[in-house]
Amino acid sequence: MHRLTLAQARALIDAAMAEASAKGMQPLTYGVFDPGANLIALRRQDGTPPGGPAVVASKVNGALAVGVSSRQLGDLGEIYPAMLGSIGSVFKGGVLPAAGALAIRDKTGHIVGAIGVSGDTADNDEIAARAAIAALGFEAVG
Amino acid sequence: MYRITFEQANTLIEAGVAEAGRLGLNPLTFGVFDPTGSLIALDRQDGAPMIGAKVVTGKAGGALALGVSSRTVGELALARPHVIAAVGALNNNGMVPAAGALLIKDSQGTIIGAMAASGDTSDNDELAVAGAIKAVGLQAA
Repeated sequence: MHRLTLAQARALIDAAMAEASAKGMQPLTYGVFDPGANLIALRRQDGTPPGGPAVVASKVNGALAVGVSSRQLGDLGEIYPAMLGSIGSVFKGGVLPAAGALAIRDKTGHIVGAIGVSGDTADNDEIAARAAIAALGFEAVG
Repeated sequence: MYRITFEQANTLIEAGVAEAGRLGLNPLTFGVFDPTGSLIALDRQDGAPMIGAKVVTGKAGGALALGVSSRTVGELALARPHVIAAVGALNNNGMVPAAGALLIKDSQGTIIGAMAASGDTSDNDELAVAGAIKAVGLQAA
């Protein structure tokens, strides 16, 4: 099956955490999901709100459902708000259209999962997620 | 202490993986939760069912909601299924009434979180969790 292993998921979280630490970001929640938006690994640092896991899951839901980044989903929502509302009602846990979640493609072009980050600004969340994907040699979708 | 720390959660998951390996269990999902039922750390081992994260969240959510182990939630569900079904629907994280989630208390008896496993029999899931909590020197309930 084309999906991230637990070892890859943990390596992605470690890499995102290293990037966040290097950039002096707030404590974050990091979640890595399979292509069906089922959680493989999650780490929530001390000092983050209890809502972190639900937020990263909702960001990732949208990114995987539509095949764009959660940032692009927010941009699409400004043009087509009704469409975004419909997508959000289809997926359990909802769809949060804010930057910080990226689907992950391997070298063969398959979507193997997604990473979602939350706890700093949405822009910073995405920087940490993107750095982790690059560090592992994968490609971010969007 | 208000809740299990990030470091403790990591250590609990490592201890759970070690205990499951020692017992020769199926691939499992392990989750460590704060007292509100929100995840602090989760690992789904390769080969564990895809629903694992939701199941451990439901087991721990039920245990934390009622202040008992998820095994006891299962016994309550047999005795009064309508009550557990109703309360489960109220709970944010649902309620999976099967063994495998244990509450974690500090030395004063305050609940500081919960740990849950899923992927083998419920009894074995609970064995892995109990072993992990004991191995890191915390108190299970």
